[in-house]
Amino acid sequence: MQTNDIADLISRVATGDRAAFASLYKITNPKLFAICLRILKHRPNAEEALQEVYIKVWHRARTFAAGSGSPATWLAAIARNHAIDVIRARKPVTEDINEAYDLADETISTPEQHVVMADEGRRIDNCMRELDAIHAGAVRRAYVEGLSYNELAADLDVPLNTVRTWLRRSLLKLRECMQR
Amino acid sequence: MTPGEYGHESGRTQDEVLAGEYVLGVLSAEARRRVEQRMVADRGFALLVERWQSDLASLNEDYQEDTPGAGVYAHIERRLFGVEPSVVATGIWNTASFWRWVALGASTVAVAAIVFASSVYQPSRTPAPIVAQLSAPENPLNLLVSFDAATGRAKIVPVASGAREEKSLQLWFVPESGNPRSLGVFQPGADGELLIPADLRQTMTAGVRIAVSLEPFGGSPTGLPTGPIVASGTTRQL
Repeated sequence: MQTNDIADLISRVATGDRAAFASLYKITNPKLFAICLRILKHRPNAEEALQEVYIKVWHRARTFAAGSGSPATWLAAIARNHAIDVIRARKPVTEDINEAYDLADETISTPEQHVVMADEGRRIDNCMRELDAIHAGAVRRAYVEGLSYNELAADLDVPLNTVRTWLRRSLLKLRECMQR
Repeated sequence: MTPGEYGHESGRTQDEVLAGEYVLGVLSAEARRRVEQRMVADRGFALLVERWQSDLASLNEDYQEDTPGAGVYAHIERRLFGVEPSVVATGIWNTASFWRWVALGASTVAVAAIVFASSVYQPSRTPAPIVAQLSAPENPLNLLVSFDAATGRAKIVPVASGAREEKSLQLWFVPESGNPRSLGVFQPGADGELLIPADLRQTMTAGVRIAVSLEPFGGSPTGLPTGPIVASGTTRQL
């Protein structure tokens, strides 16, 4: 999958080019379907979600054409966000009204100067290795499977607040590591 | 949490975590909607989300590839364009060649606004404009006039006549030889701007032929004009 080819196809889709849309679907559907299937764990539901994902791609292509991010990341985010929304609607999560943030303040730079680079995601692998292995595993499972805090807590057999603290601290450690 | 908190040190830490939680996907549906509303209202916060999205993108490699059912794409097309691809080639769309229509030489068209490259696309949040659709009997091309009271500006955008979901107008670059190439489809409800494909921007100089065709809703399914040319003309430098 060539990044430039996908970016070119998305910019053509932004002009209303149906032939480009068909090509984009052909090239990218196996990955986006895998995302839907991994999160929804049910083939017909994943196929239904995939339809919605590409309808969003058609309508939002113009917002990508104007941006500068990686096209693969953009497409994957649309698929993940949609699949996560579907699973949250199906299996609602009870919400704490006052979720405490018992986190120490850390110096975090604002991303105003941040330019999204295609290969920037590489460094997260090194930073993940600096986390406690259990915490890194929880971060990865949350992301890849789209698990809620409640599901992670049940799966890992730890209290909800514990898993929440693990992930929040891990996010701050990752951010700190990425800025080094 | 309000946008005003952004920039406050502890607020910033919370924002960083909240943006990361959103991208990880651990939040409830309600919390996800709140984050998305915040992203619209607070560009600084939206950048935090985009940064996590980019930083965590290598985790996408954990997803293998899989094959959905063969019918999925047809469903997508039907939902977006309202017709089966095979139906498109019949009836009024089964027209003579594009070139004959060009030769018939309809009137020239004033294409409202061709945008070669817009920098950052910002959806406007201004009040709804006053609009009028100007039409004449038997004319496949109407003009949508919209007036924005806030700025005093009026825009005129060509639209296909008839129901909005039925047909679209598509703009083509017509080379001296070879096939016409799509410059874009006028989107219903949009402001008449078209983002010209990057590789065609060089060709948009004075003296080139452009044309507008009537196409199935969403634009030509084949990548070539399938409907009648409603207008064509030659560009010139102002």
